[in-house]
Amino acid sequence: MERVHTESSRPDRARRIGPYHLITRIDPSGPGQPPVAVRRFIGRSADGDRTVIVSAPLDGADPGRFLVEADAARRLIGPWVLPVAELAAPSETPWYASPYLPVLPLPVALAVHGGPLPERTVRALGAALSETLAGAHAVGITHAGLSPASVLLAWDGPRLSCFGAVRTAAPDGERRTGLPGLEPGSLAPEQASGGRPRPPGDVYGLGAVLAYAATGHTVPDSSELPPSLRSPVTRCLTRDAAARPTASEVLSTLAGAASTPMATVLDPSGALLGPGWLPSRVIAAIARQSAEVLAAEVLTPISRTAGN
Amino acid sequence: MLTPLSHDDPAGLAGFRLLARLGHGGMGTVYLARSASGRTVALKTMHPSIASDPAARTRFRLETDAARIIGGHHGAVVVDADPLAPAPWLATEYVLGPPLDDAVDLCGPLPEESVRALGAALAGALAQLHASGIVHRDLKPSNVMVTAYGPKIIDFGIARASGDDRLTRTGSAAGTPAFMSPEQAVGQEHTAAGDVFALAGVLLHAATGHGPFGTGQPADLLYRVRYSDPDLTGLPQALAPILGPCLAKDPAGRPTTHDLVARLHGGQGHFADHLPDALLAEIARRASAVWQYRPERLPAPAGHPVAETVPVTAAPDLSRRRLFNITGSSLLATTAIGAAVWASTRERDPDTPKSTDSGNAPAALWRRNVVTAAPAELGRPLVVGDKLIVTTEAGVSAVEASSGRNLWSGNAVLSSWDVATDGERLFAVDYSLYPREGLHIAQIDLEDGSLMDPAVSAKAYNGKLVGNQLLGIDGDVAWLLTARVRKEDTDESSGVGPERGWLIASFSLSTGRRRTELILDEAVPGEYPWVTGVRANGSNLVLFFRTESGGVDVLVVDTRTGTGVWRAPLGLNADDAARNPIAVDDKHLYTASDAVRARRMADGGEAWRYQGKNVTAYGPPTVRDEVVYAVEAVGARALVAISADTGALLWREKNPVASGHELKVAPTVGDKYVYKHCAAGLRAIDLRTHETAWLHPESLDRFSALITAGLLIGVGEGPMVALPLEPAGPASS
Repeated sequence: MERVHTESSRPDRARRIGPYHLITRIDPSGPGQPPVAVRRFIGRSADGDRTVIVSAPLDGADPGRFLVEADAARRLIGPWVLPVAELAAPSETPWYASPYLPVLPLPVALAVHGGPLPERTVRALGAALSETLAGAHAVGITHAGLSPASVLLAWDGPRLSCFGAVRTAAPDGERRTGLPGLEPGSLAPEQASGGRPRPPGDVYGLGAVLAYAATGHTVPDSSELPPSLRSPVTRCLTRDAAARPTASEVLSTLAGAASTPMATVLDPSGALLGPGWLPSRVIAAIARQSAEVLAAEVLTPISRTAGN
Repeated sequence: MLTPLSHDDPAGLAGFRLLARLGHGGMGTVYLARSASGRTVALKTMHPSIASDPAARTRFRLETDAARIIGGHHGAVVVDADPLAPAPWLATEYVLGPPLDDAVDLCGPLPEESVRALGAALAGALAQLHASGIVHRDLKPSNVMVTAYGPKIIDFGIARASGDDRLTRTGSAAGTPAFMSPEQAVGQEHTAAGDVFALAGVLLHAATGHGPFGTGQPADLLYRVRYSDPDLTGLPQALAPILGPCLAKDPAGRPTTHDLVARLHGGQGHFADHLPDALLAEIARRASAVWQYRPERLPAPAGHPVAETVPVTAAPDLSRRRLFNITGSSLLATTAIGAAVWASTRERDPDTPKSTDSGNAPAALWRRNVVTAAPAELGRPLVVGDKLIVTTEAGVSAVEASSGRNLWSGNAVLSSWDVATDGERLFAVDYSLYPREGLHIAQIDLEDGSLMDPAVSAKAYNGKLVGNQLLGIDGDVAWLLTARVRKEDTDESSGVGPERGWLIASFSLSTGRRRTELILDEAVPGEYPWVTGVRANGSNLVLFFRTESGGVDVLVVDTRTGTGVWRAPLGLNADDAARNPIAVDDKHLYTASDAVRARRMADGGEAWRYQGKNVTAYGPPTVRDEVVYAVEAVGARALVAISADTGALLWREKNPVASGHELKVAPTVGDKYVYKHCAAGLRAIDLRTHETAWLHPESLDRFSALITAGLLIGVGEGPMVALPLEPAGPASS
């Protein structure tokens, strides 16, 4: 939702964040787009060797809290997490970076597909995300940042990003309604009123993400949801935090209902993420993005001399 | 497949750093490589020992030319090349998809739907190639890469210009016996019809996993190619009557590529929609694997004299001089040159038979790819003087209309709703450029894309709102959708938007003063009024708003007073309406859905309604010179011309060609032709004879007519294409 702006007051062609030249934004900006907790770009190092997804705080966000969360995000692990691989030095304007992989934010996937995603996709997405949350919650980590735009879709499964967005937006004890970057429908009521984010809040956010994937918005009427998802999603979205299921309960509901001969204890969502888990146009858009980023050139003094 | 570099591969070549091997053969090696500017390419090199053979060198040069001519839509984009270097090289895009033979090995025979989509696209590609006077001569499954956006033909190792016998004289036994045409097998001229023969073999392989004449020794294969009936076992029943005739021994008996396009596929949906899941997964895997590959190099065998490993990340080898150098933005420069070659070879070959495909269609003057990471953001190109302003995910860029050359780009702070033009000047509104308070409108310097000092600086308005839109420039007046600054807005707040108070304001660009203000009353908390289309006409500004349900409301504003004249819902889809210019003239606003309707500009009342017999839907309309044009969305999809004044039918397209695609693009009207978008491409309908004059076989989903520059600009999913606006058709030449 946030508009991109340069670090200087003049338009600067060679726009950079940290050591990375920016190639393009990850999130479309403008009216009708769900808010994103960070400004995200695809960037490339000056030598062309490293292509990354680089994230920077929104205007007005507390840079200290942003960096604390980025650092803490490194403890969140698993195949369906966008890893924070590099962090700005404390003296710099804050940013963090992850190795580039072709990904579409969930709202872009809906736009590309032309509407809500198929039930199979939503179910697989739910299994992978709940698996990730269950792992985090088991070691005492609360993600506190689930929203439609925090879920990036790669070819083989989601990549969860925006760790700690709720804590970055405002410290515990302050009301968080209407803050930039927070998607209202994904924010658990207890977190909106200033409560410290805890695992049931992640489950609420998960419900909102799945509702968004299945209907196009985070606060659906339960009749809009496919019947098989109605109960798990509405239970996640219960206002009373204590009444929500745990992430592992959501995982067993979503992964267990499918016939999953390939699922194992170690890889419960694997079987759901096989060929066909993403609709064709989403695959095509992922491939197109990859081709465009492969072809992207960053103008540096080196490339100018190379032309001579 | 990406495999590590061998110990004796160089670190760099022709200014590219080598990352991995993609393939290796007798002629040379293909590498995955990276340019100094970070672009990743497939770099094909020829061994210097082979390059010393003039015939091999000629082949390499012809391959390079052919790759440029086919372009990035049907082939791999040529990034750079030097066929004259001691070790000739060709750098193209790294194509993300498996070759067709691998695809069939991996996923099994493809479903009929996939084969049809592949076949139609390949026939279209061959049509384009043949129209440029190039015959491929070695079409086979391993030379067809299947991407998510369509097949790409690569490896023009033996392609040559028609009538060019330089290669024949060398006596090279070219072609692959399993997919060779009978005439090629006996050493006769392999024409465009020979490529049709090979195409049928390729499609048969895709559908069944076997070629038309089996496998075996080349001599046996050549015999069967000449004398045996093709083996169509396993071919879906409906494809046999289409592919069978392509495999006729007599070239004259084979259908044309144009016939094949029409018979194979109706053009519905996206290419990817027709591919099986397993193949899509493989495409996606390749698109991602290239980013996960870490460059490495195999160790030299023990005791090898060059066992000291050269680091892959060594400085690029810049010492090798490129004799055939292309400076500037490689993509644009090469595609422009490719198009020029294409155009000139067409002129040299006026005898292209009318029956072969695109026939009289004008060649594209240029084409370029447009970065469209977020399709929803891409508007129609704006026309500013002799430049096109294209807004993509990466920001605003300017393209020279006559050449397609990129003039400047990368002004990533701007979105399409931030810029507007009066046809001569380009203006932008964007808070991010100005860390000062208030709202600012500044002119963009068309020479370099930089912003000039603001023409308007209005402190009372909130420049930080995401929903701000620069609606249009009408003479001295700039029209904006914005809101006033509220007390609680601070410099730090980012523009989530006011809950009330969106308004349409106008400012004088010469004095910087505000002229008018119209408060809109649809203030849905957290929602932005989203203007999807604007057209100023005489004394009115016509605005299309997207409604919450995805429909369209029209608001007509008096440009003198800034007051609303009338507002009404239109029975249109907002996304579809946003693709097309609003059809309006001094008297009426024209819309089309179940009927073509004219509403009075004065009060919004219906002036007339036109509905043909048994026609229940129409595509979006266009108005020019008192005539409204629209396409019937059912049956034969004929174009109709209706009197703008009375709603009476003036004429209906003669001999329309039925096609089942969705009608979302309005016709574009020139002086000689009406250009109609159809499944097969762009159809030019003669304004005098009322029938098709030519067809440009490329599906593009937006067209902008640029009358002054003499160009017709089309924007598709990937390419932007420029056609001459009023080329001499056969009737007038």
